[in-house]
Amino acid sequence: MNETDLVRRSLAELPAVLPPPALSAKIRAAAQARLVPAKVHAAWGVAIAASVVAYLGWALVYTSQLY
Amino acid sequence: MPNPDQETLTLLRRRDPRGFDQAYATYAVRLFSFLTRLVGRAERPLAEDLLQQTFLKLAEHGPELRADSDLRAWLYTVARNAFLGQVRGRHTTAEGPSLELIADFAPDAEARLMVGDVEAALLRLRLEDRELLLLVGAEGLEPRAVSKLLGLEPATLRKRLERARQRLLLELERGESRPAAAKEVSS
Repeated sequence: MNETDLVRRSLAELPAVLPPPALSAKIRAAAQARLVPAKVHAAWGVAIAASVVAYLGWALVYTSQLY
Repeated sequence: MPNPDQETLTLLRRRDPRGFDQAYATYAVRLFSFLTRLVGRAERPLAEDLLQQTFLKLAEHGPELRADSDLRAWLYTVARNAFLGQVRGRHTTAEGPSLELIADFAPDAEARLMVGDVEAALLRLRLEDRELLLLVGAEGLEPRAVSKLLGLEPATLRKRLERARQRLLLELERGESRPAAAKEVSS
């Protein structure tokens, strides 16, 4: 075996270094949160739609009172 | 040649967490080994931080990856960029690994000495040489992928790799002429 082969072998045979299980769990949890966006409760959609309708209604009434 | 990560990429593109789990199971240990040796064992918390940054980037950008992407090369590129970003302007240790860590690392004394020698020699190399040897020699990345990752022409990469191997060999030989440290490790 020549010297370059020795270097190659010594590098290839370096053992794996395991990440701590707690870190892996933390990373997986954070990734899950990023991949699957939290669902917005249906009530929020209704509330936003209602506030838009209320605002448009108020704007209509207000404008009609100007003339 | 079919992409070995095709299924993982398909799942990631659908934002399916199983895709992330597959990617993590396949590459986390290899990336962590690479990062730990790149920064040195004394800087293990930095390697942990870099691993986290890398995989969170995958969670963020994984759904945008193309189905034919080279996931392994992408992850190593992100990890390397995260490392360069972290250490720019920050001092990283040039010291060898701590003896306690080496002792925990491999069970028999001879292997311990070998691993310790190689890792200590790697840490004494310039960063450019170290990352090249780790990517090609320890991680087994294709030279073509590494030349793309490092932005080097294949011929330049070959020359640099050969020089880096010679320097590592030189450092290993120098290490052998440091009996005090070796004795400490093997005791």
